Amino acid sequence: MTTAHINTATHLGDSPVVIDIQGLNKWYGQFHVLKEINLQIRQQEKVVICGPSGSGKSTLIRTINRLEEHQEGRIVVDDEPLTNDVKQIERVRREVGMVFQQFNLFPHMTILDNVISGPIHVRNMPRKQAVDLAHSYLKRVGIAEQANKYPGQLSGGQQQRVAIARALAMQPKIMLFDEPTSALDPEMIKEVLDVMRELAEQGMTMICVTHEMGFAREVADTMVFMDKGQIVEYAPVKEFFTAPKEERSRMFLEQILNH
Amino acid sequence: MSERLAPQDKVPFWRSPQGRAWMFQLCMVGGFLWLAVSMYRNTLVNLKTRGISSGFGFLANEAGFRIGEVTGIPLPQGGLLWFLLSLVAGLAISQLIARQLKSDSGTPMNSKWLSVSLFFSIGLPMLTLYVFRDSIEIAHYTESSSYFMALLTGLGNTLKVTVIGCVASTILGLLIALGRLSPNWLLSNICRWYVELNRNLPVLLQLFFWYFIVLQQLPNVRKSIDLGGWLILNKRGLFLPSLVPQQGAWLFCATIVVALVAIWVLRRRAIRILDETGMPVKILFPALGFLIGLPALAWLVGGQPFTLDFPVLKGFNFKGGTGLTPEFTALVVGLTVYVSAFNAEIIRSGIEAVSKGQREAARALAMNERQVMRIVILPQAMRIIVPPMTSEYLAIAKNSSLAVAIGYPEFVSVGGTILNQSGQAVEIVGIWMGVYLCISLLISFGMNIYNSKVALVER
Ligand SMILES: Nc1ncnc2c1ncn2[C@@H]1O[C@H](COP(=O)(O)OP(=O)(O)O)[C@@H](O)[C@H]1O
Ligand SMILES: [Mg+2]
Repeated sequence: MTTAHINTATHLGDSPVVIDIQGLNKWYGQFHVLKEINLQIRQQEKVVICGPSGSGKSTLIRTINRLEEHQEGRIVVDDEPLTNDVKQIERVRREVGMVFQQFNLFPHMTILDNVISGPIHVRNMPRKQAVDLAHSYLKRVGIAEQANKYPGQLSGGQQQRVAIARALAMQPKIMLFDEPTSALDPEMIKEVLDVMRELAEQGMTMICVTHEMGFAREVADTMVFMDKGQIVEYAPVKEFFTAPKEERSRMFLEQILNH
Repeated sequence: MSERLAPQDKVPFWRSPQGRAWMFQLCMVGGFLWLAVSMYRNTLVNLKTRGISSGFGFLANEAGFRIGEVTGIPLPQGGLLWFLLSLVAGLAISQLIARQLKSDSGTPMNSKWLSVSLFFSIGLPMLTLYVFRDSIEIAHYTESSSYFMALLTGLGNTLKVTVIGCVASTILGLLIALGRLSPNWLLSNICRWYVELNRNLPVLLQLFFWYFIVLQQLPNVRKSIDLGGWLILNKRGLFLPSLVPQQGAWLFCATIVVALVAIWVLRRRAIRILDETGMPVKILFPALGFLIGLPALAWLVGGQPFTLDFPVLKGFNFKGGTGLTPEFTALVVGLTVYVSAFNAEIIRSGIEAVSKGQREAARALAMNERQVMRIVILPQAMRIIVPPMTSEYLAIAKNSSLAVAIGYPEFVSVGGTILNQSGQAVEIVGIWMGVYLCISLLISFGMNIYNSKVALVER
């Protein structure tokens, strides 16, 4: 294992690597959830991670902003290695936005307060400036009129768009999405994917765990297929959908596309 | 095709839910009235046959017994009435201003209006207090005072214990709860044992423990721990020198209030500047300047505000000064420790009931752990914490009557003495119940207002 294979997007030329994961191993007690993960993600790259439930997709992207600790290996985000140093972790989290399956908006705050909470408390931004910023992001995700409502008064799709605005208001360099449409009714999936598509067009570096293969085919540069805690297949998006190398990813694709 | 049913007019009233509820209520009220009337008549007959006079006239009689701990009672006359009146009026006026501004412009008040309403809510009562300072009398119970005065003194002692107990058990409970939630194994287990131990021992036993075991370890009066007269500690209690107000005391106290208000205004200004420009403003030194400088100036102008009255040994005990009796200490410590265990559990479960996703979302925004707690977790936990916490506060008020067992002269214990002396059982029991009901209702009322404030935030 001297020359571990590093998964890196050579097809994107030589734009700088913003996330560098090497030899990552993670256990939950005895259970080995992440096994020898090697992955590099470049600036403006869009990576879609897919794989069966329980394969460790969420765990992998949650190690990137240290919502989960890892036991072995090295993760460097935006030149900042992730260690136990709280300051370092907070610096990384400032540059990495995250959107959750369950939205996780703060129910006791208005939509506006949700969106300005990061800029005000973490970036020490003047309130007026934060409010202006929040309004511009809320407009971008199409929720401008609802700024003074509470999350409980919005539909799931609207809540998820607010969650995206809240993450964007921190002006991160990287966005992580963990199954952002899995908790949504079918008619609301599109409105969220549209927002993500637009974000991708504007050049955001994105890592999405999703089963929306249409979205993946359209937006992703790179596909990662995970199973049982390992990266089984890493491929440019065209290659992955037309000629998957691995038997397991082929079967998974068949299942999900014929479903 | 079924015919249309109008929900109200077809159903006989005894089969509609509202009708049934009403009938049930009526039966309850009727039964209760009958019980009350028959009890009242029964009591009158009994009293007559035993030759005991009824009524509250006896309260004016001389009490004649000693009360070990006397809390000063401000007499309801002249100055006090004006002070209370101006307090209520001031609060009402500032509330009105706030409401008017909010309905006019939809924004909270700016600093100009804030100082106006501040004047009414704090300045006006302070001013009245100053103007009427000579007509405020604080009465202290003596053996020749009336039964009524004795009851008031007991009530004062009860309220003292209740207020201190509620505040202290909340703070201690919060600390224990945070300790239990901490990732530190040792700390979290110590806190767990603290909770289990205190929850599972009867509160009366705990009072005995503090009073008869812990406080009895203190030395006798003759062998007091004595720090040059400044602090004396023995079995009879903790003695400290007391402050005797002199000529300049009013000015001195007033400048402290002014300094606190000034600091508050400074803080608001700092927050506003932080909001508008993102520049943090340091206010520690100006604040200290106000807090030390103004009172120092008052000292120079008005002379020494207080002299010290040192406790001295006279006969078998120390006289003069101020301090804590062992009964008071045991009661406050016992109740606080006991209730803090329950409060800790309430706070912990409130915090844990906030979903994990909330914590993760806050962390993902790069908030530090203190911000996560303060901005995201606690405000949501509050809604779960407040209702059961109300019951704990009520428990403190009611359990303070266990002081009878260690001889602290609170409301029930004083009332008991009066009952024994005068034989007016019905009246005393009536007063007991009436007063406890009032205290409990007041606590519930206050907590309900607070609860509706934290609960309303969601929608
Ligand atoms: N906190 C945890 N403790 C123990 N096991 C966990 C924990 N979180 C996840 N797991 C396990 O780790 C595996 C991977 O989980 P996850 O990353 O959520 O999978 P995915 O997102 O791909 O569905 C699953 O088998 C899950 O049961
Ligand atoms: Mg998952």
